[in-house]
Amino acid sequence: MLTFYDIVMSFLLRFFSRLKKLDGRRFLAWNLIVCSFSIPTFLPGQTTFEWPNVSVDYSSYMTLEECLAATSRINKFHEDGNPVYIDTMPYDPRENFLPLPDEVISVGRQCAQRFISQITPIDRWRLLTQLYLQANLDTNAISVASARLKAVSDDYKERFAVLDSIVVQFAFSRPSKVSLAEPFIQQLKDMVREFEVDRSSTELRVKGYFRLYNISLIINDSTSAREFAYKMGAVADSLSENDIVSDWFREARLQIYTALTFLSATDYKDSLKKSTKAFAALHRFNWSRSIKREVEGALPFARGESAAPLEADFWFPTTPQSGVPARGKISVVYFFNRCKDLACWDEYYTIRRIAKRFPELEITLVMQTGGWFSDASPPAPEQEAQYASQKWLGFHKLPVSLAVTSSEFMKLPYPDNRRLNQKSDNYLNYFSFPGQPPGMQADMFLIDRNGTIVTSSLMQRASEGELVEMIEILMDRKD
Amino acid sequence: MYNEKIQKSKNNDFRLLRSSECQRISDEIRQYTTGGGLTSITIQGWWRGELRWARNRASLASDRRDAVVVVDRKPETFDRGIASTNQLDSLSLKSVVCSAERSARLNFDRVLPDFIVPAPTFETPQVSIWSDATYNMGATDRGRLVSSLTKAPEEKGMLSAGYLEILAAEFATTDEDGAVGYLTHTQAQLSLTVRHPQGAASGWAGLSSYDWSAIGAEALGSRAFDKCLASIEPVRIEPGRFTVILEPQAVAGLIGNLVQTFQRARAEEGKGPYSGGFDRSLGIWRSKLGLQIIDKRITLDHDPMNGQLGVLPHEGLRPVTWIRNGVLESLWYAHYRNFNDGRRASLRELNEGMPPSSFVAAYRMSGGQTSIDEMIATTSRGLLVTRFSNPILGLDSDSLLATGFTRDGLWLIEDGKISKAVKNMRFTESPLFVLNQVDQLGVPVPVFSPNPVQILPVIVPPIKSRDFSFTASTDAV
Repeated sequence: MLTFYDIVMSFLLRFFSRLKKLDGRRFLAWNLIVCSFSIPTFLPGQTTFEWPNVSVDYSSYMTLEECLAATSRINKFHEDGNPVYIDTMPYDPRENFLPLPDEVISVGRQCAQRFISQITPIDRWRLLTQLYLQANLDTNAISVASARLKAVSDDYKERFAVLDSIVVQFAFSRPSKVSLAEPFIQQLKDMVREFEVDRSSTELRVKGYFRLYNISLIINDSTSAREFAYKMGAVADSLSENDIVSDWFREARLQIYTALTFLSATDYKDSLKKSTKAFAALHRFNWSRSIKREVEGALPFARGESAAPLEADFWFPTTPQSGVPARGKISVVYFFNRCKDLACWDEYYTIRRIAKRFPELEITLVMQTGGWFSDASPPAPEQEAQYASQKWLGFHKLPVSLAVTSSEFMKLPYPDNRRLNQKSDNYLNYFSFPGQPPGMQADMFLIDRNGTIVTSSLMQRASEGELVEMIEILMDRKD
Repeated sequence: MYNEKIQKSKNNDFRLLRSSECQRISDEIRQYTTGGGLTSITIQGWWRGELRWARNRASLASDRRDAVVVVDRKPETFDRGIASTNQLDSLSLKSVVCSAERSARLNFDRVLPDFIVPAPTFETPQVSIWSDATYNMGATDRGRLVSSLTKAPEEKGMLSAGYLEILAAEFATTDEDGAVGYLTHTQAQLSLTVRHPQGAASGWAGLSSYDWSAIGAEALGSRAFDKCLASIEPVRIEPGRFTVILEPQAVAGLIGNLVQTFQRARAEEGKGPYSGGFDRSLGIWRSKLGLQIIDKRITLDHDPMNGQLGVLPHEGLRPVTWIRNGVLESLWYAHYRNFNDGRRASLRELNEGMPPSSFVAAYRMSGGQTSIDEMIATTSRGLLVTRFSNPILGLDSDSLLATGFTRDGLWLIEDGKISKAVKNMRFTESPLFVLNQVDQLGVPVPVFSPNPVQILPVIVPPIKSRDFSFTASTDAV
């Protein structure tokens, strides 16, 4: 766990560590800048011997925003004090819905007493409901939501939007309170049913199905989830040409694909047990069904494509004897430039856990040198690669191979002078597959023993379970 | 960086530590270290004389000095520890070393090693910002000066208030071999306001420099007094767009914020006024470098070697031209910045290292030969602005729209003459628009630009500009 003190100290020490590398004159200049800020008389007047009163007077919080800021702050304080750095732990879907700490509920209650639902303007309902839910004042939350619903005009789109917002408020609160929102969910279902009958709005129908599908997953009602996923698939099959080219469908097609993927979960596993080709074909079918277009020549996320051998100028710890990814081995190729420092520690732990569980798995981190932006001579690629090796393999002890490519680059003409690194061949080979769904990122590729890309996704805690499941299937498969 | 002058003037006083004293302290500290490893020592001393007055009477007079020793220890088997003291006796120096080493032991588990390729290195220029006139400005001299500055206002029944500060400081650091680098600098500032006792008028003048002799205290006193007398009984006029004559201090108030926005990183992320649009062929955001962004007569630059523009030296400090003849020529960037490597540089990276070009807060703006009197004579209807009250930049990050109030003297110009004093007004205007609507430029002069750390010299001309937007009138004086 890092505290503010840690961050400040690490910065200071890092700063002073740089000084050691400077000669006397530059060292003087650096210190001069730093020490200038320490001239004591420039500091504003402050009391040295009396600590200010930092206790919080919630009665002085006049707005809902202040109250929610307080609960958020207390919650963050609580999480920061958690001795378990959660990003180093395997992902648990329930962690998003853990109950709020008692302190947060207590603060929420004290603050919520200032706001009487009957006289608070109805346009503040969303914040008020959120505060009531945090404070476990569920009855009040329901009454506020009901009042908002009563204030809706005859416009069915507005009614749908309000209902959807209410359901989201209850379902995605901590802990999830889907059961309290049951009457609203029922109304949402009724509205969607009306759309089914009169076919008035395909857009709202898809949105409604997807919301109800998500709610079903939260309460572990897989039967309902399947029902709504099926309905989304049915809508996808019946879309008109106008729907397909509309703006709303651009977003909805990913929702449809998600639902179809859920429906095909078992089929996916079965197909992967059979072959990567069958697995990829099923994905191709679902994706083309979602986007209503045939995907020619490629599969989403490069699934089913042949993985190009990696090329690198520097290999760590040793240059491989044969090509990577190696035939006859299951491999993970991870493009690592996106990720940095503390923000990615969860990824380091994910890699370590996977490597520990599957010792025979071949994991390769792929990087390319960055150079300096300035007009000074860039560092030697060997030097940059060496530093990368010291960091990932030496300090973080990642059980992987590191492949570093020296970046080709060009400089823009004066006065811009900017250095533009070209994408490495590795990057082009792995990220140039047509048909990749927009808005979805990937930095990791799972490759089977035949050198075929099984899947690509982000290396993160949330997708670790799915990745492990696929590796297990591949390990059991007799290729 | 050793300054001979200070040695001569310091023979009989103890306001600053001499280089030899810093060397002795450094050597003594090194004797107390245990556990081997590396030791860095920074000694920073300063002497400051102040005189603050209000309602024609002194309210604060000080003459203070201090010296702080910062010890940075890195024993061989531990991480770094830092401790400081302002007691220079042997026992205290020994204690501060112990404290730094204890801190190093405690820090052992805290620090994450970093593996960033060492940044390119840049030269540190030799800059002299020392003035004997400043250093020799004693408490008695300050008292006499302020007494004379308050005399005229008091005789006329006006109220004078102001602040006079003299500072001299030294910085000494040692390298791994124990050699001491030693640098001294001075700074002086004087600002004063003369107000009508009923709050009916206000006049201001001020100047800052490393050299007291360049400040001209008597002239500043007269200017503030005259402005106060000339701004009695102001009238309210309707806000709107006016031709304005901005005195240099007003120009600095408006342009100072502009200079600090010369950030390359923002421009290349497609943000701010210097972003030139997305280049689809290269997949990058272009900047407006090389494009004309303001009036062709204006050049904005900084040369740390220029005596009037000197700032404390740092690695990479070098002359820079931000805008040459209206064309954007440079933008600030940090040399740590990686580019186009698949990720965006973190905030820490962007802040790491000093800009290789120059301080962005000290600058010089080119001008012309038109005097303020000539500007007034050629104006049929307009406003003469003394200065602005803390302009706030950032109403709109793309246009740099700013807002604030005029203060300490605003006059209406009609038919080539100042016709009457005007009540202060709120302006809402972009400095970029102002610099694109320039009619006439005056001779650049230094202005008041103190800073908590050091004087950041600013040299700007008076400007006559068209269609300056005033959006409200205020009774505040």
